[in-house]
Amino acid sequence: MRLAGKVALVTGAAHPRSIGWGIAKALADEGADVVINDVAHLDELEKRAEELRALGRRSLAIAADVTQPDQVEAMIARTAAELGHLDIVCSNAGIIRWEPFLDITPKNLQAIVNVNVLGNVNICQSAARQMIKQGNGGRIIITSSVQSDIQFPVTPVYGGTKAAMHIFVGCLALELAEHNITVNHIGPGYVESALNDVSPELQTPEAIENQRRAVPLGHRAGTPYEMGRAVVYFASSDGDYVTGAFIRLDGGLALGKE
Amino acid sequence: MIDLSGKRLYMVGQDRVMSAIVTRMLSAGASFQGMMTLHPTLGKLETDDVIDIAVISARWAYQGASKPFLDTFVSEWREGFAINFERVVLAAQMIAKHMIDRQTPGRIIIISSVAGLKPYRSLSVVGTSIAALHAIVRVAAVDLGVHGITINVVAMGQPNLMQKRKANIPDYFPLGRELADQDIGDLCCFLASDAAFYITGAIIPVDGGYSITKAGAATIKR
Repeated sequence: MRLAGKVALVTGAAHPRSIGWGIAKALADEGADVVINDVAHLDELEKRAEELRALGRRSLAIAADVTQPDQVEAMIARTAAELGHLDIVCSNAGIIRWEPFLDITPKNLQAIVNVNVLGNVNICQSAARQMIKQGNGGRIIITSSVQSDIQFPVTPVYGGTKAAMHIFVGCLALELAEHNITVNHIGPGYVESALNDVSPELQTPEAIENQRRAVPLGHRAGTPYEMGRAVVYFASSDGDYVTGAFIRLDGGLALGKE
Repeated sequence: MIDLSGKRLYMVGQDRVMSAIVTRMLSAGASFQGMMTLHPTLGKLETDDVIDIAVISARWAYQGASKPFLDTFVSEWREGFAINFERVVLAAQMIAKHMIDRQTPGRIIIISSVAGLKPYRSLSVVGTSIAALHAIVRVAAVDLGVHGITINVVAMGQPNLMQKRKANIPDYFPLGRELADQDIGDLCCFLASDAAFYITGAIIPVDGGYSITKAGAATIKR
């Protein structure tokens, strides 16, 4: 139990097959109380909180849109008020659209930036302010993607916002170090999460099998829980000296074909 | 000597550096085909003629762009991404389609900043928006390659130092002097020329070595 007594917040965690839920579960398994947030699948959100409570953890299910600063601020304030403090923030909510470069539409372009960039800005600002007020440091972990390192032609805007996290996380790590707040990010590769359900490239069993075979390590998809284990590393005392870092969690997918 | 004669040049965005690029390219023989705005809104192409070379400026920086993350406003992030990322992407796409329609093996050159290459204190908005742009350029380069179109980025370094640091120029610029607009124009000319046929998806810093110095990071500190 490496996170006993800690309070964590995970965004984008309602869906039972989401990376956010994998993170929430991994944190709770290490003893953390976990607030889970989402803006979609709201009928599922409270169920997830119940599952965490069944483990003996405190949990809140808070519906909020990360693109709205006032909603984010209220969520952080409620977390601190009801659970006493906020130690770990996992800014995980993200969206993806499948539009190659020549087909990018202004609408989707802006929507992806709003969630994948401005959502992180809102969460990180509110969370950092709360952590600074508490005076005990804190941990911020952003979910980016294997696409932070290699971009795919079908999802250029998503890939762009994820690659941008290298600089975003680096800037925040530099600036928040004096408050003992670490800022790191994880890069999930092929995870059979809810995000991929509507991928036009993964609609047949053959396509899914091909995708699995492209993963050098074990020819399988990663699990949301495996993503969560890396978050535990950053969030626990093991990660005390780690900031501005990126862990690619893709079974070697980014290394290319064998 | 780089020869751009017969090449038609189109500019997206306007500032001092863009003017210097135009001047340099015209002196190499290119002809000026037109321009459109990026800021405050993305303009329209308004030309049916062939465009051989398009230069797009992604050099948005708001008043006091250098400020700590916790002092930034969401409105600044929105505007920074709208101008440095969204409009540049849409402008590049518009120009690429124009080139594809006319079967022009054109050159798209984007002017950005080394702030997108590594994290600098107090430059989170500029750095993050430019990093997103750099990534999408690499994807675009793959898709445009089959049409013979190249797309590359010239990442500008710190233009000049604060007065009190002028005595220490070599600490910041290993090449011994501050950036001149001409330096940017020179690389743009090369990228637009036939000699650069085989270069695409490249992000090339022109910074006198600024971004590889430790002192370079220190200049941005408050």
